[in-house]
Amino acid sequence: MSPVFRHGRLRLYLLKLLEESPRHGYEVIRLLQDRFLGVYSPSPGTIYPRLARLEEEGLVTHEVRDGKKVFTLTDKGRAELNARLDELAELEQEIADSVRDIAREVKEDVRETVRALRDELTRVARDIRRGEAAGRTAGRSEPRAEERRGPRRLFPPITVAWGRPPQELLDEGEQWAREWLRIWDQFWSGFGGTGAGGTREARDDRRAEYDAELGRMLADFVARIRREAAQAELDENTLTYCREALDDVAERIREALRG
Amino acid sequence: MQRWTIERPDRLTFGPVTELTVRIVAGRLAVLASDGPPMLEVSEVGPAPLTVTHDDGRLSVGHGDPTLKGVLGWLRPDRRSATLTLTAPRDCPVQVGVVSASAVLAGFENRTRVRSVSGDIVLDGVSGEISTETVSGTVESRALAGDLSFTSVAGELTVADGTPRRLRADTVAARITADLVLTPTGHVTVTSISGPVVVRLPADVDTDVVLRSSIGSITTGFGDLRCDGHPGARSVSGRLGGGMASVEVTTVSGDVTLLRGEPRPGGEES
Repeated sequence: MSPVFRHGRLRLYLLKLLEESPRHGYEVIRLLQDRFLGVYSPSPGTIYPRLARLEEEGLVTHEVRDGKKVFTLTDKGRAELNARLDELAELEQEIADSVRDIAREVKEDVRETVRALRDELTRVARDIRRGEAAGRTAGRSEPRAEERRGPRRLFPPITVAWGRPPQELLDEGEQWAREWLRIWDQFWSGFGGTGAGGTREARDDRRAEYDAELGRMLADFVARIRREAAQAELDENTLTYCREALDDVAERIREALRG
Repeated sequence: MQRWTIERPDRLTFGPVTELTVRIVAGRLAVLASDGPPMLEVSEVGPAPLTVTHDDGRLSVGHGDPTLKGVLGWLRPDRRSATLTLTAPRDCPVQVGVVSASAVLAGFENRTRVRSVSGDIVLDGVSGEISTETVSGTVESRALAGDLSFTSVAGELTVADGTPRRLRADTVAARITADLVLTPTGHVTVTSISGPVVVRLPADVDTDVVLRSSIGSITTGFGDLRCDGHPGARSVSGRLGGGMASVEVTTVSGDVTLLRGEPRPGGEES
């Protein structure tokens, strides 16, 4: 993505971003990432020295708010930006082109991932079936797929990360579930009646909201019990008691669900 | 309300967009989430013009008929083709309808709906509520999360690296391939008449599993599932790990394969 910013164009784009509104350095970096859909990620080591240089030249000025430097465009900076409007239009065109490139890249990349996955799973499935057939003829019924598999990746690399690093998406259970439920809650609470459907859709929305809440309660419950069980000594008596308690609770919940 | 009629390649930038609807007949469509200004770039259009309206945050881009009356309604003998690239905020609900055009969508987090007759659909990094309906177009997806629903007659469906809270996939004759990590109360339901179904779950998954097929074969890489084999209704079922989630696959003649992947990255605790 670097060709977009040849010949001092990053400087021009920084001026443009600061003209829109005063911003701090981190915000500028994030905006650049967003505008390039995460494909171009400038490092703080690129951006902060550039902002400092712009300030030396008197194009921007900064004040410290909450311990952060907030940069503002000066009149001199605005003059330079106005003098280079043609170039800015050209730059925005190139950015649009790069968005189109990103779209193409996403498509090819997803298709490649999908093709690889399909091939891999087809091969593994075939190996298992062969293993089973071989097992039957040899008088064994255990599938032997595990040792037959060749080296492979669990997840193909995600080259375009949509705002979040992929490892965060794959983060461990509890934290992940919470994160997801948060997104889910936000989604349902932030979603008004946009469809043309009216009451039926609204009812469906509420149902899904309740359903999400129930799912969240269950997930929280399991996470809590597991955490506590990890610190306790489990034996057969405790287990029997837990089973009875769970059956009891399940019955009460079932009654409530039946209304 | 602003309104544009686009007859040649052009580029528009919009104010705030809170809802996006795109309907095109033929051509290529890409819709990407971005925190930059919402933008439409039209690289090719014709012979029929494209209508764009922006009304109180609702952006619609499309060929003709602006009401939502289903995809088949606007199958007409003319060739209405366009190549479009759109960007919109990631929290914006998106509806896309295409007839034969291909559609790429990436990065959205709200409600995303895609309908296609024969156009292929590619989804990347989409979360929230996602639904796709297609007759014969393929659906290829990567890194989806949330509430996923896929309906297809003959279009192949692939879910790579999916983390569904709920996944519902229905097909008549298409192959379904899904590589999944389940959420704690994840719910996966796959039904197929004649299309083969292949699902891969992590080795340390916590889920109840039911695989049924009338005449298709059932194969599993998890050794600890119970087989009930009587002709006409064979099934394999059981509990893997703690069993909070649920996975159900039902076919008539399609083969069912449940594969055991590697343990989840990040380990046991969930």
